[in-house]
Amino acid sequence: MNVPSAAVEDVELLNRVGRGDEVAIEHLYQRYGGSCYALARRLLNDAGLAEDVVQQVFLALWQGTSYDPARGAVSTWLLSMTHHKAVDAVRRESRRRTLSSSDETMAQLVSTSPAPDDEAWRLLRADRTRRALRTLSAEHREVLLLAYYGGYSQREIADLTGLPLGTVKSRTLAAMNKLRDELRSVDDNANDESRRQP
Amino acid sequence: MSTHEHGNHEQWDELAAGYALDALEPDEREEFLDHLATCERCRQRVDEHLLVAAQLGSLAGDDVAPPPWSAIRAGVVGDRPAPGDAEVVVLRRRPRLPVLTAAAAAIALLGAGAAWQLTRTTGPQPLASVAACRQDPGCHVIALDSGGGSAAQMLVHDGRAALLPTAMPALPAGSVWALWQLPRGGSPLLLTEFETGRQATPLKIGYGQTAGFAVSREKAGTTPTAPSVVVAAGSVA
Repeated sequence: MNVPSAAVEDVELLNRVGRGDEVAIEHLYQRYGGSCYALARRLLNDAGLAEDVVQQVFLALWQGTSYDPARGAVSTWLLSMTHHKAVDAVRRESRRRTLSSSDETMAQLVSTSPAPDDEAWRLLRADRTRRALRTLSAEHREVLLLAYYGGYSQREIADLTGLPLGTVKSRTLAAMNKLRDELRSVDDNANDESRRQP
Repeated sequence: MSTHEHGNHEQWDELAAGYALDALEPDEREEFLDHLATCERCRQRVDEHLLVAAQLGSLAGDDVAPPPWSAIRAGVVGDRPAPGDAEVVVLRRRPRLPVLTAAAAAIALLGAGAAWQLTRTTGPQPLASVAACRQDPGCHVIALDSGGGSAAQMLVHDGRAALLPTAMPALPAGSVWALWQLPRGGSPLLLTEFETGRQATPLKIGYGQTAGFAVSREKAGTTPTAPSVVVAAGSVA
């Protein structure tokens, strides 16, 4: 799927954030805060903790100490930072964890509705990711979803599943590579089609 | 000496995937970060994995609204005075006037295939049907964006939709356009395929359950189950 991005606007907004422009960071929050909050909420299952995480993420962006534009889009960085801080929080609050099977997690992700203010492009991307996720084997999907949406370390996943730690690590890598390739193949097909245009 | 120091990069690759998923133990993470500082290959792997992880994260969206900016503002920017109201852009719908017949007539006109083709144009065209739709409380205008600007307008009225191109690209030979309805939950629904002017098409689900619309380019003679090359998309208000 050929998906244009708002990256150019984001760069401009980031430049303004660097100059202390509060309207610009509020604009970025309006654009990405919902995705960050939804991710934190899903990992933490707690509105207050999720709000704390999102606040920490945007504070880091405001202070300009962590984001490197050369390493990727700000949307990727925001979700990565949100996930990292949410995992830290869920490990501190381990009693909040509820173990879901990968099938249950997958079912939740498949049935998830986008937030009302989601853009159509975001919905299309999510649909593409769901389809790519379905191409993974159950074993690959299990380690991936336990890690990403369960917040478990690979050692914890080995304990939970009874698999050797080395198997968990190799399956995780294979799952990430497969998912990357699935997503990339769709983009490559789209780009090939675009190049064939007159 | 590092426990992962060896000739090939397989174990570093595994750590790169685990790092992107925040699934490493603290000692492994420290060790990997030390290695990352000196390994461009692993930095590239991490960037790739972080992109994939972020796409996984995009699936987390739910119906719970995030806290308003005002709830986290002080924790982000501190106690500085809030910007003036003049800097806040508020989008308001235009006042609606009860001119139902004008909007219905606009949709009907489009349905008759009057003068709408998917061709490259130099810019947005003033369209009387869009103006008429905006005046009708039962008619909805959805702007479809190509990512670089407005590409088309969707008019939806009484369970039917019509597309008005403003800056769509030319259609390559052997291809057709596909119009998709995007439900708030679930996968895109194919409404119709077409090359040029078409009848207005009925929606597959109610407008209230619709998150947006999209146009994709597909190979002619196929019935796509998902959008291939999306050229324009837009959200409902």
